[in-house]
Amino acid sequence: MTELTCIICPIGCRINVIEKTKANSWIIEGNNCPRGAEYAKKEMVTPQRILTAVVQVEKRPRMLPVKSEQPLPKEKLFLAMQEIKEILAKPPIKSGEILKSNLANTGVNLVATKTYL
Amino acid sequence: MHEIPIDLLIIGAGPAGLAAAIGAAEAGVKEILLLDRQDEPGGILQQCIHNGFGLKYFKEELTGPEYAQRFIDQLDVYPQINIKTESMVTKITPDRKVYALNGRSKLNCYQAKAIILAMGCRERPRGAINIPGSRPSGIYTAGTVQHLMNIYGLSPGKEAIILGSGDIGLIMARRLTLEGIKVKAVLERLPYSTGLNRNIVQCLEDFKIPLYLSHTIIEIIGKKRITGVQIAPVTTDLQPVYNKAFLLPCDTLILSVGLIPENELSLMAGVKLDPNTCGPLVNSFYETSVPGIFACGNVAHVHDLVDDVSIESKVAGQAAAAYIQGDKFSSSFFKVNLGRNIRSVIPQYVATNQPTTLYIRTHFPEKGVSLKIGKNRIQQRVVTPGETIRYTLSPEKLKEFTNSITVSLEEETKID
Ligand SMILES: Cc1cc2nc3c(=O)[nH]c(=O)nc-3n(C[C@H](O)[C@H](O)[C@H](O)COP(=O)(O)OP(=O)(O)OC[C@H]3O[C@@H](n4cnc5c(N)ncnc54)[C@H](O)[C@@H]3O)c2cc1C
Ligand code: SF4
Repeated sequence: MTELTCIICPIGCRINVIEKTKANSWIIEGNNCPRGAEYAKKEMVTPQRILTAVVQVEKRPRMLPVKSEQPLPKEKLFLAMQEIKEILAKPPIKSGEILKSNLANTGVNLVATKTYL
Repeated sequence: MHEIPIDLLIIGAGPAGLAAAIGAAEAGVKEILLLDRQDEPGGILQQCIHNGFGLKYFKEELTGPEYAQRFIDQLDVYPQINIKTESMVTKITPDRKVYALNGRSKLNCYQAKAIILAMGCRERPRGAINIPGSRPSGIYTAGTVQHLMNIYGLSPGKEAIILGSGDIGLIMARRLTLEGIKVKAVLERLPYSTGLNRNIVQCLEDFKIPLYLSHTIIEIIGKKRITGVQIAPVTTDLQPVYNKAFLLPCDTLILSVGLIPENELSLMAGVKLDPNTCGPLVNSFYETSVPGIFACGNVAHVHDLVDDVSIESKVAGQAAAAYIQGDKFSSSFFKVNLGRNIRSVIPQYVATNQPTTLYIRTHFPEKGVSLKIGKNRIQQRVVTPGETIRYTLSPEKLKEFTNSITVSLEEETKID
């Protein structure tokens, strides 16, 4: 049995995952809502996380906050960070604008989370 | 000095001030001015670049700057709301005069019909926790590090130790790690973390950062720059066990030891504070002890979810509108009494006829208890001091009370 804490919302349900004999099939208990079961399954196969960071902006002292549009596999986070450090954003930038596609070869976009005129 | 008349003046353009302004504008206030000492609205959210905001209010997961922008964008709809940034309020009087330094040097005086206090909170500095040892450089509060890294892209050091396991400390542990800074330990004096479980998982466990519960720092070492800290376990009554102390080298110490509402201005205006929340005593309308002065957001009590800040601040904005328009709202209130394992409840006075959400904090963590409010008992799976319990009193439920409301946590077996 694996014990997990659901990170989808601040309630943080403690979820028990009991493996069945069939591959990739589990009994999931303790989740308050269906999103918890979804999370537990993903966590058993490939744990994924949204990545947030900041990038440099050309000729400006302030950084631009960014996020991965979708969650990235956990083991790709550091590779993605290396790529993010290379970025020099050119204003004007709109919140939601794509700054880099295919982050760490995952097919996920990196987008701005703030408008910078 | 020339006085500038204004209907509603709001101090602080963070999420509380912004939501209050929108609430007041919707309720018909014609002239609203927000003053903020920063150079942009949004408050502390602008440096909280991580996601997890807005699940309750917008039903989606946003980063801090995105959450702030949702409110800033709404301002375009309301020409009656003006924002002055780089305006530092220095004084408020009980008759609602507000003095502010606008820009570099200009001192203005406003005479407001109503004021909303939305100044947020600030971090407890090191002085407030009294660690012995030298005072080298390399010691920061978590919020300062968040500001340096997320706004200016500066790195505080190479090897960090974080004291305090509240959410800001946990979030900064992950942020530092992703930037290549080694977080050697997070220390917590209490036997449990005061942060959310989800943050322990995604900020510490994901990166295998050790969390030392029941441990504290007994000495800071280093001459010019910090070179390490002496750490000791603590007993159940929080006394360090000196003969079990050990040294952890580091060049950065980050203090995340709690937030206190920022209430110097409130005191000047004669507003009475609650020693349990450290914020003003307020009623269901978020009105303080001084008529026409309201308070909402982190200045009233430290919130763990910004969504709650937005919800309550709209109520404060609407109430300020009613005050300006001369509507008399309820004049009878039930005082809230604190029962077993209840550290604070806001609002402290509940209007007898107004649906009111209570925000409740506990002294210590427990399992298998029920929240008891009058005849109502609500089972709680787990309660911890780090997580607010919310309970809404409907007009129906309010009928059973006669002069006060006692809130307590009771062991389930003891309930009749
Ligand atoms: C360092 C820190 C990190 C946080 N991280 C998280 C988090 O990760 N997740 C989460 O859910 N919550 C977090 N919070 C709490 C969350 O941000 C708050 O719930 C929310 O921002 C509170 O909104 P507010 O408007 O009350 O205060 P704030 O956002 O603090 O806004 C207050 C505003 O008032 C202005 N102000 C203060 N005094 C004056 C004055 N005299 N004159 C003019 N302007 C003034 C300030 O400049 C500021 O803009 C954090 C809080 C802090 C302090
Ligand atoms: S299971 Fe549902 S309710 Fe529980 S933490 Fe996950 S998302 Fe929240």
